[in-house]
Amino acid sequence: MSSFASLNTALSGLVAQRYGLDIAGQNIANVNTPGYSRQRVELQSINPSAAPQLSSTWDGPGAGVDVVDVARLTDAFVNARARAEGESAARLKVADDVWTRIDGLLAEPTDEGLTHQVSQFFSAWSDVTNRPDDDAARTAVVQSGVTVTDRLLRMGEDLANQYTQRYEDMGAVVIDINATSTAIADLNRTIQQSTSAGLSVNELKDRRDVLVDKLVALTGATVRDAGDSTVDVFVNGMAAVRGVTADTLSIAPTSAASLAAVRLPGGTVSFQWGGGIPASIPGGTISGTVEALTVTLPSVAVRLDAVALDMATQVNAIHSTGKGLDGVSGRAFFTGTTTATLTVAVTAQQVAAAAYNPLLPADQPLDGSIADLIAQLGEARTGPASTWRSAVTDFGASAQSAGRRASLQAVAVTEANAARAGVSGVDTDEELTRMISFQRAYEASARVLTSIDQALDVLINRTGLVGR
Amino acid sequence: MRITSNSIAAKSYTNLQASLARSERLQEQLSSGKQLSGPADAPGQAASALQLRNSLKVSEQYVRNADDGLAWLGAADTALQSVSTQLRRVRELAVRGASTGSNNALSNAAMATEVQQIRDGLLDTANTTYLGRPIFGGTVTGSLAFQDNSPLPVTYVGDAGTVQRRIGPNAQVRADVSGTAAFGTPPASVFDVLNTLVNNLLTNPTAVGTDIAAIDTRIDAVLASLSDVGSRVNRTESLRQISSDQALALQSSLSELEDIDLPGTIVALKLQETAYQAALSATARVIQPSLLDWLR
Repeated sequence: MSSFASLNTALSGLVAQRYGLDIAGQNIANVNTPGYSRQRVELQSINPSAAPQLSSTWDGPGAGVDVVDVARLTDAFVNARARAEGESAARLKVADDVWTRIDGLLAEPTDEGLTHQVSQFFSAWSDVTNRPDDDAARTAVVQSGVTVTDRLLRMGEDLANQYTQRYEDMGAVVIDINATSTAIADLNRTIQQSTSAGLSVNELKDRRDVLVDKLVALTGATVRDAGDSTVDVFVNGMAAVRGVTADTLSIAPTSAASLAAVRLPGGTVSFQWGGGIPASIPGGTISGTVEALTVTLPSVAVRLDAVALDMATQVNAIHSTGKGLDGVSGRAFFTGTTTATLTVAVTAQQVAAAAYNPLLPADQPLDGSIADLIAQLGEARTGPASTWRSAVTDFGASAQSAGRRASLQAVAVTEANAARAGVSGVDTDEELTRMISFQRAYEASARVLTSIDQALDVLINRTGLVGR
Repeated sequence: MRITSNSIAAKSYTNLQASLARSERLQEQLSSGKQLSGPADAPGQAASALQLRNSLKVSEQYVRNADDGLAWLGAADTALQSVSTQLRRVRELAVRGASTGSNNALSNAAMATEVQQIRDGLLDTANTTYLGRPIFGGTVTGSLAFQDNSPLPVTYVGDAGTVQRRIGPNAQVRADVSGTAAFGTPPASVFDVLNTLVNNLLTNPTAVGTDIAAIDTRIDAVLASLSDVGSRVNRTESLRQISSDQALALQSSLSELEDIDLPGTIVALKLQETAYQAALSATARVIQPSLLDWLR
């Protein structure tokens, strides 16, 4: 062994400990960086001779320490769980948002709600029963009828607006998906090149993981490690990202852009890959939005229309058997069958309060028997008010369960993220401890260097000077 | 599981958020006074609340209908009371007129004039209106129930219709009084009876005695109508009371469903505040210490 070999051993220690300090510094610097995974310097002692040879007879100490790798501490399973929970949370959050807004537009139970306005409407009929010849009472019936139709119209419009808004938002999300896919493909290329050049790619992989998480939350995609340090991302079996190339997603031109369009037979919302290949999105924000657009909003609209139709049918059935002040019978009070088309079709004079008797075609302006029958619909067990009430109960139950599912899922996401932080998160106390141990080791290595230097000094400068 | 300072911070933040959200919810309930802010809060309760609101509105309408009916019946009662008083006076005059020995033509003429006045007054009373409608005329459109065609007899120009007020789910009360039942059907109406009396007083005092029986019949008819009105007033009042009690009961049920329990909510909010402050101080203690504090 050379007299200077120990100097090299000490030097390798200095280099390795300083590397350890650098990594601790990097971890501490990124303690608050989203998606950052903590790193560990992997040290290995150097064997004096790599492989035994005939002439190598050295049996002395090893030749120091070597930094073999900087490991990135992640757990694929924990990451996959966090992704899956994030995907469900994104999907359920859309459902919760949609139902919260529907719950708000019902405005029940308040004086602005339909229940109150329907009660007012039937109450106005009762006033007409009391004073069938009174213009004020008749006008009140027409006006309160208009209030009911306006309220239904506004709820229908609010639903249609919500549809349009979410459809437009979905377009923005699709653009985001494509940008994310492209960024993942670009990172795949950089990581592949850097790896083959032997460079560190830990930080690049962190960035790629953040993007993959986002893509999964948006689409419910699945991720596969391709083995050549790239990842492939599949959306329902179709590759959104394969190696260094990314496919482009778009909303199919046949998709329904309005609530009215999606309610037509065959109305739907669908997607396609570049080249027009049909795409199906299994989860995430997009599938939550598609469910809202094609299931939730249309079903609520159908229920509202049913309320409008029920209102028109029940009132008209009685109203058409009576006659107005002008002696004409058979008029419908409401026309239209949906929230958008329901309107009051009569004037105050034409409101039928009196029963029609073919034998007595002359006016009976003071007969309020028909008005009384209509007023009784207000408390009928199967009247329009009860149709609305059962719709509100169903909406409320759906909104409540959507809210509960979303908040339960938010807890699951917190748990999964905590598990991920447990594996990959930086702990400052831990890094400080490591910093101290690297610092001490550095000082010790320096001390070794000094003592070898002193030994050599004795050997070179002081040896052979006896008697001088 | 490995715990890092950041995961402690994240978890503390999540818990603080949850605590703050509970405070916010209680705060909202306190400021609005309502515990139900939408059907999603409690779908079953919301359905009951809607049902109660509807029933409340209906009950209030019944009370209004009953009030309207009572006004009609009140007008009829006043009118019939005055008719009965005036008919008693007529009977007095007739009895005096029948005592032929003590009267001369002059006093008979004076009595005839008074009866004539009373007859005209009765006709006005029979045409009493409530809000422009004759209360003894059924559902007639005009403003008269009985038409004066003098010198021809009075005719009934009302119709046979009835004015009904709905004062309960299955209860209707008649609010008008049949003019023909109270005043008689021409040509046997109270006006015809009084006309005959006037004529007899002036021209044939000996026949006045027979008129007394006819006047008694009319008085009985008015009294019958009065007692009918009285019983209908009673029925309407009791049903009105039921509806109004029901409205009160519904209002209190609705309030129980929709409104907050004020002391309970305030206590809950206070507890929540304490919990939040405890969480804050605990978080401050957990997050604060670091190895850095002990390193130099």
